[in-house]
This record gives sequence, structure tokens and C-alpha cells, in this order.
Amino acid sequence: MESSIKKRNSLLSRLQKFPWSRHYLYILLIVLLVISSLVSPQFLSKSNIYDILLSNMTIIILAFGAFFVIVTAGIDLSVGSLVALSGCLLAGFIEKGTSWWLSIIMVLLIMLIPGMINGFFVAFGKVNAFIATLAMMSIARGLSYIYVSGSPKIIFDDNIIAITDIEFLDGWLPLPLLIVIILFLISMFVLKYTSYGRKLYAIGDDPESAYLNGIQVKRHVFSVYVINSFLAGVAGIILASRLMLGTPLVGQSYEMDAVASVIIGGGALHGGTGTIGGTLLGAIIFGILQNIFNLVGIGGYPQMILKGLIIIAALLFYRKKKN
Amino acid sequence: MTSEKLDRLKKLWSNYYLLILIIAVTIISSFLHPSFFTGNNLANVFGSNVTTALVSIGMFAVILTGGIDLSVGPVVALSSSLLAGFLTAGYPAWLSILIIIIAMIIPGLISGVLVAYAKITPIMATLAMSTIIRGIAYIYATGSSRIISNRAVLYLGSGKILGIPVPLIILLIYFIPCWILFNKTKIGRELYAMGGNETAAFLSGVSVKRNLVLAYAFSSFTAGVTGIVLAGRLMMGAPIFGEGYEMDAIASIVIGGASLSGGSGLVRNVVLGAFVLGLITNILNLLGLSSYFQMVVKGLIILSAVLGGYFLNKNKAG
Repeated sequence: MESSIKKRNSLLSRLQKFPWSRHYLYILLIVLLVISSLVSPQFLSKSNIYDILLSNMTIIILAFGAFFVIVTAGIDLSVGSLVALSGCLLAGFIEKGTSWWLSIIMVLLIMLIPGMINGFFVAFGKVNAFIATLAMMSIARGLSYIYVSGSPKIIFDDNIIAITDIEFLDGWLPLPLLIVIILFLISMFVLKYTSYGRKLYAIGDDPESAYLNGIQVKRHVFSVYVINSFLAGVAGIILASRLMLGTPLVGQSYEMDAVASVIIGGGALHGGTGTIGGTLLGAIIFGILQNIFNLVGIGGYPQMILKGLIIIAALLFYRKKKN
Repeated sequence: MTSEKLDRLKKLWSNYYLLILIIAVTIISSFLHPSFFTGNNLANVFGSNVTTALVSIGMFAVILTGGIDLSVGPVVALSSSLLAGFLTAGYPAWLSILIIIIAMIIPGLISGVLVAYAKITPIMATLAMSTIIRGIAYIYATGSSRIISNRAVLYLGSGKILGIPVPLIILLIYFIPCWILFNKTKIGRELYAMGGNETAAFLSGVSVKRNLVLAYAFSSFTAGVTGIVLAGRLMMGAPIFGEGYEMDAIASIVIGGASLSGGSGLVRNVVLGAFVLGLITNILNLLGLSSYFQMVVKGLIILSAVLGGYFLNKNKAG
């Protein structure tokens, strides 16, 4: 009797010890791939897979940025508007005759500013992150409308359009994918192997004790909003290149997709947990789900409902167990 | 100046700053545009910002607990779409309104349960709910808006009694029980206590979870009422209604001096905050500044109100 209990306990404990938190995302991904290849034979074709990856490039990059913010227990709702602002600025600079590389550099530099403002208010002004970035969301979207005076600007510059057209390795490595891989590797390195990255986790876990341990909490919190805003700038440039125009209409509700990707990937809004790898998988899974919905023929409005349900399901799955 | 005097000045300011703000905005605006200070325009401002004020009253209950409700805009849209649909289907106005405002409690109940019992962050729970509810509104209305021609409903939204817009009277009637709820009832005081310190409230016998669910249900119910008034004013129900309402409500609440971490603020100030926002929006409109420009201004108003509140309260704690 006792031994059987012991045996069961050991089985249970072994089951509990199995690092589900590392593998369930892969399992989920494989299940999704199997289901979707059954649903539609074209799903596993190279062109469809690349289509999914490329059309979700913006969200994947935003999810990286969102992860930096969320790991410190913050949130940034302004990224969707920042994507629009970045694209509009790029289109505007190109139209004024600035060369393509100078425009990109200028846009990326300018896109540091909204992040600095967000970071300043959150870190030094003690404003709730949610409110500061909500205000920025409205400000940035308004500015992008004002900048292009309401109508989209078409981008004629070949070099800008080429950003999404250049392919390496016989078409196996499009430039946007390369950018995502580089951003991913840098983010992973920073978060995993630098003291800066580990401090971000510490701040998200418990800002008080992080502070008492000599971490400059304010500076670090400030920095993640700047990183996030910069990445939103990159995402905006890639999106503008793909659409061949800068318009204030894009990026609506991207913040939700980015946060959803982080959450599906195991990040938690209370900070201090999750990995950038999980976030990448989360974004890909979220993208595949939407692709499946499209292939099955579910309309845009029911998809809104499904998206909400997926987020709630992910939140319930990971919810913090409080005593 | 002695610190005592400074404290008294601060107290005076925090009691009356909204009135001062309203008067200041009114005076400046009257100089900026001749048609601002006319009975017609002011009645219009107060009539058309009733919806913001109503939504803010609802969300105030949630913000008191330290939470937030991002689904109010979609609930407004759903409520107005349902009303238009029911009226088109031939139901009597009073029955449609009754069914809808009761039904609009449901989204709030769901958000409340997710926040209170499943321990999901309010932002995420209500953000997810907001896409679900707006999706339902789009599906119900099949993507388009429906005209409302029912006289009674139109009267609720745009009628006048002795020159006073009916929506304003609805707001007053709705405000009184809300004022009592927040200031004179046990549950109201419990909401304040929960926002101040949830654990302490729980330990002193407040049923925190039940109250959380009620707060979200109240917010959603109020948004439902708002949807009816809005449908009457715009003479239609549409799934695109209520876009940005959560932002306006947050702005009104912050202007009204409530802290977003919960436990403080007054419901009357929230209503005044909504009208300050309305007056500012109105003068921007009169000056011909685009709605894009107004988006920027609204963002700046929220930031400065939050910062202002922070600096006012900073010394209070210390």
C-alpha cells in the first residue's frame, strides 16, 4: 500500500518535474501544423509557410519589443500607433527627396523619442505604464495623421521596396526573415547572457528587492520602452516597404497581437518570467492560428471573437497561482 | 509660506480646481471663438458629452478597485446595435431597452469573474473581452449600421424639456443613485477600501471577489445605458460606435482627480471631468482643429492630469 503510494507519488513528481513549460509550445506548434496540413494540403508548402512568416514579421518584431517591456512588469499599448508613425515618417522623408538610407536612419532615430517619453513618464514620473502608453497611442496616431495630412503616401523608392524583396540562399532567406533572426539572436543574447538582461528579470520579479540590490531600476525601466519603440520603428519600416506606402491607418490593435504573442509564449504581465524564444514561438503560433482561420474561411468578425477567446485561454492556462 | 498654509492652499485647490478649470476653459474659449459662449453651443456641449460622463461613472467603479475596463466602448457599440436591431424587428421600445440594458450586465459579469476568480490582469481580461464584444456587435449588425426611427428612442437621445437636453436629464437621474451608491452605501465604501488596500479590505471582512464582479457588471451596465442614449442621439445603431470611449472615460476620471491605482476620487468630480474634456474638445472643434490634432491633445491632457495628480499627492504621503 505504502509502496504503491510512493510509486504513484514518484510518477506524479516525475510528471510534474517534466519541463512542460519548455516543451508544450513545441507540442502545440506540431499539433497545429498537423491539423492545418490535414485541413488544407497547401498549408505545408514552402510558399504558404513563408507567407505566414512574412505576413507576421511585424507582429513578431513587436512581440520581441513587448517582451522586453512585459518582463519588467510593464506594458506598452502605443506600438501599433508607433508602427503607423514610423511608416508615415519614412514615406514623408522619401517624398521630400531624402536618400533611402538616410531616411531609414532618421526614422529609426526619431522613433527613439516616443519610447523616451513613455519611459520617462513610467520610470521617473511614476505614471501607470498602461496610462502613459495609452496617451502615447493617441498622440502618435494623431501625429501620423497630421504628418501625412490624412491620406496615405505611396513610396516610389526602389531601395525601400527592395527591403521586402531581397532574398538570399536561393529564396530561402528573405531579408525581413534575416532581420527577424538577427533581432531574435541579439534579444536572446541580451536577455540571457548579459547582466542588463538579468536585471530586467529581477526588476519584473520584485522591483523593491531589485532596487535594494543596487539595480538602477528607473534607468532600466526607461530603457525597455526605448528598445520597444525602436523595434516598433523597425517593424513600421518593414511594413511600409511591404505595403509600398506609409499610412496612418496601419497598426490598429497590433499592441494586442504583440501582447497576445508574449502571453501565449509564456510571458506574464506581472513580469519576471518567460523567454524571448517562447515569445517567438507564441507569435508564430498566433500567426498560424490566424492563417488556419483564413484557410477554413472564418470571416474577420468571428476571428475577432476567436482572438479574444485565445487570449483568455492563454491567460487562464498561465494564471499566477496566488495563495 | 509656512507648510500649514501651503497645505490649506493645496486642499482648497484640490476641492475647487475642477470649477476653476471649467471657468478658465470657458473664459479662454469665449475669447477664442465668438460662438462658444452661446446657449445653443453650451447646451450642445453638455448634451453630447453625457455619453462620456455616463461611461466614466461606470468605469469609475472599476478604477476605484484599482482595475480598468477597456471593454466599455464595444459594449456601447453592442448595446446600440442590439437596440437598432430589436426596433427593426418590431419590438416595442421600452421592452427592447429593458432587455438590452439587463443583457449588457453579462459582459461585465464575465470580465469580473475573469479578474476576481481567475486572477487575470484587468487590462488583459477586458482587452480580450473588448475584441470579443465588438466582434459580436459586427456579426449581429452584419457589419453595417441601422437607422432608428422610433420616436421615443430619438427623444431620449436628442429631445429637449424646457430647453434642457433630455440626455442631460437622464444623466442627472442616473447620477443620483450612483452618488448614493458610491458615498452612502456599504458596498460603495467597500469599493474605496478595496482600492486602498485589497488585502486589508479582505481581512476586515469585505467580500472582495463579489465586489469586483459587481464593479465590472456595473461598468458594463452603465455602458449599456450609454449605448441607448448614443443610439438615440445619432439616430442609428452601429458596431463602430464607442471607439475610443475607454480613453475618454479614463481621461475624465483622471481629470476628475481619481487615482488610477484605486481607492480615491469622487463620482461628481468624474462627471465634471467629463465636461471639462467636452469643453476642450468643443473649442478645438470650433477652432477648426482636426480630430487628429484632438487625438494628440487628448493624450497630452491625460499625461498632464496624471502627472499633476502625482505631484499633488506626493507630499500628502510624505
